Amino acid sequence: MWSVLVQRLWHNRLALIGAVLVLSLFVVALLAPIVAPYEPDYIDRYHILEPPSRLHPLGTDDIGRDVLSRMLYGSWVSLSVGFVAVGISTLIGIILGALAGYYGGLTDRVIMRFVDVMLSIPSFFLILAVIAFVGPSIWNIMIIIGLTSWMGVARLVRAEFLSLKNREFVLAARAIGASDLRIIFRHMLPNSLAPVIVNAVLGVASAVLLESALSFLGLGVQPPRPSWGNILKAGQANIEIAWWLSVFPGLAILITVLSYNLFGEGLRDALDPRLWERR
Amino acid sequence: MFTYLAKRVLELSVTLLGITLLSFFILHLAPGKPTDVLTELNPKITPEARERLEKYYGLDKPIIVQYLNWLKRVIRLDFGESFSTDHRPVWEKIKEKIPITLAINILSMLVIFLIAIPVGISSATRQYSLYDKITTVVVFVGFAMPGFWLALLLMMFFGVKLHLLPISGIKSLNYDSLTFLGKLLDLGKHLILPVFVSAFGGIAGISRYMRSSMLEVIRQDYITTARAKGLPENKVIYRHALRNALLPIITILGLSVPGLIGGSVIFEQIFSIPGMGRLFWMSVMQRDYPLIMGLLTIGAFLTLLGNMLADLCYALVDPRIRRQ
Repeated sequence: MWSVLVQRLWHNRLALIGAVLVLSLFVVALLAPIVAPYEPDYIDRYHILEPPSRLHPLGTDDIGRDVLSRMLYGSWVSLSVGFVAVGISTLIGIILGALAGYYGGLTDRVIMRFVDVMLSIPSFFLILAVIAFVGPSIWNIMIIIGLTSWMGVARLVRAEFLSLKNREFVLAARAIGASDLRIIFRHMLPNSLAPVIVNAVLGVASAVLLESALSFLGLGVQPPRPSWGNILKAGQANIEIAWWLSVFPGLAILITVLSYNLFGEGLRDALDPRLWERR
Repeated sequence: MFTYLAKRVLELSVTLLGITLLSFFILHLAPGKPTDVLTELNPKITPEARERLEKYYGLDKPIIVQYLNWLKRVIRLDFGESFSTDHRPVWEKIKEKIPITLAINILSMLVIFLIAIPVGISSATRQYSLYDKITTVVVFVGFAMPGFWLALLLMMFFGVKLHLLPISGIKSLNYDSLTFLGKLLDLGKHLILPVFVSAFGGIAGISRYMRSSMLEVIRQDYITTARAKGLPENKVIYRHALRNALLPIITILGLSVPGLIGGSVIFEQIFSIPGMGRLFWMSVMQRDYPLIMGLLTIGAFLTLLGNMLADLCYALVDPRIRRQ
C-alpha cells in the first residue's frame, strides 16, 4: 500500500511541492542554531529598525534584533505547536468518535451533543478566555488548541465506524470472541485512518494559523522567545516605518500553511481509491 | 413548519445551556481565582478581606450552586457587574457593542455571498479552464493567508502609502460635524478594510464549496434532461442547477458564524474598532471574569442564532426537510 501511496503522491505535483516544503521547514527549524546569522536575542544597538541590508538580510526590529534569526528560531515554535496540538486533538477525536460510532445509542447521542456544543462556542473566544486564566505559554497554547479542535476528527471517525460496524470482518472478529477494545483498535481503527491522517495534516495548518494569531494578540508565545506571530505584533506597532517587520514573518506563515494544505489535499487524493482510476 | 421551528428552538436552548455549563466549569476549574485580579495588586488586602470578597461573589459555595445562581440571574439578562474600574453592569457594556460587531459580520457575510457564489459557479461551469485554475490557486493562497497579516498589508498599502483609507476606528474626529451623507461616507470608508478582511477567508472557502457543489449538481440526470429538451445553457445553470447547488452552501454559511464572531477579536483589535471582539480582548487582558462569561454566552447565542437562521432558510427552500 505504501508504494502505491508514494507513487500517487509523486504524480500529484502540487502535493509533492507541499511535501518538499514541509520537509524543508523541518530542516530549517532543526538547523536554525547553525544557519541563523545571530542569536535570536542578540541586540545590535547601532542598527535599530533598519531595513534589510547585507548585515541584517531581513532587517532589524524595534530593539535591534535580527529579524531573519528570530524568524528561523521562531519556525521551531510554529512546527512544535502544530504537531503537539494536532496530536492531542487527534487522540481525543479518535477516542470519542470511536466510542460514539461503535456503541451507538445513548453514548453516541451524548458524545455528539457534546460535539455540537463545542462547535457552537466561538472557539477563539474560549481559547482566549482559558489563556487569560492559565497564563500564556507555549505549552498551554498547544494543550488549549488541542482541546478545542478535536470535533472534526470525532465526526470523521464516527462516520467511518458507522459504515464499518456491520462489515464481515468486524462481525467475524466479534464472532470469535474478540473484546470490544481489540475490535475497535486492531480491526476498525486501522481501516478508518486514511481520512484522519489527511485531517491531521490540514489540522497542523490551522494550528499554525491559530498560534500566530494568539501570539500576535500578545496571548501566545511570550517575548523574548521569538515566534512569527509576536514579530508581527512589533510589525503592527511600527507599521508606518518598518514594512519588513510585517511582510516577512507573515510570508513565512503563509508559505507554511500553504504547504501543509497542499500536502494534505494531495494526500487526500492519493488515499482516495475512487480517484485512482481516473487520471 | 411550526413543529420544526419549535424543535429547533428547544435544541438551541439545550445547546446554549450546555455551552454556559461548559464555559462556567472550565473557567472555574482553571488555576487562579476570578477575584485574583481584585486582590493581587492590592497590597492592603488582608486574608479576611479576601474571604469577604469571595463570599460576596459567592465563590465559597460549591461550583454547581454557583452555576445555578449565575444561571438564575442570567435568565433575567443580569450578568453581574464588571470587575473593571467603571463597575458597570456587564449586560450594559455588551449591549452597546453588539450593533457594531453584528453590522460588520452581516456586511462581510453579504460580501462573501456576493463574491463567492458567482466565482464558484463560473469556475464550475468552466472546469479545468485557465480561469478555473487561476481561481483555484487564489483560493489555496486565500485559505493559507492569516487574516491579520492581510489586514496589516492592506493598512500599509491603502493607509500608510496611498493615504486613501483610514486605518483605525470607525469614525473620523470631525464625524459629528458632517452631514448625514458625509457621515455615511465616513463610516463606509472606515469599514471597507475591516469588512473585506473578515470576509476574505470566507470568500476563499465558500467559492470552493460552491464550485464542488455545482459540479456535483451539473452531473445529475435532471440537468441532462433540461439540456436535452433544448433549454439555453444559462437557464439550465441559473434556474435548474443553482437552486440545488445552493442548498449545502446555506448550511456552511451558518457554520462559519462562530469563526466570524471569534475572528472579530483579531480584526477589531487591529483596526481599533470598539465592538464585542475588542471588548472581549480587554476583558481577557484584565481577567474581568463576569464580562468574559457574559461575552462567551452572548457570542454563543449569536452563533446558535446564525445556525438556526441557516437551518430555517434551508427548510424554506427544501420541502423535504419541512415535512420531517
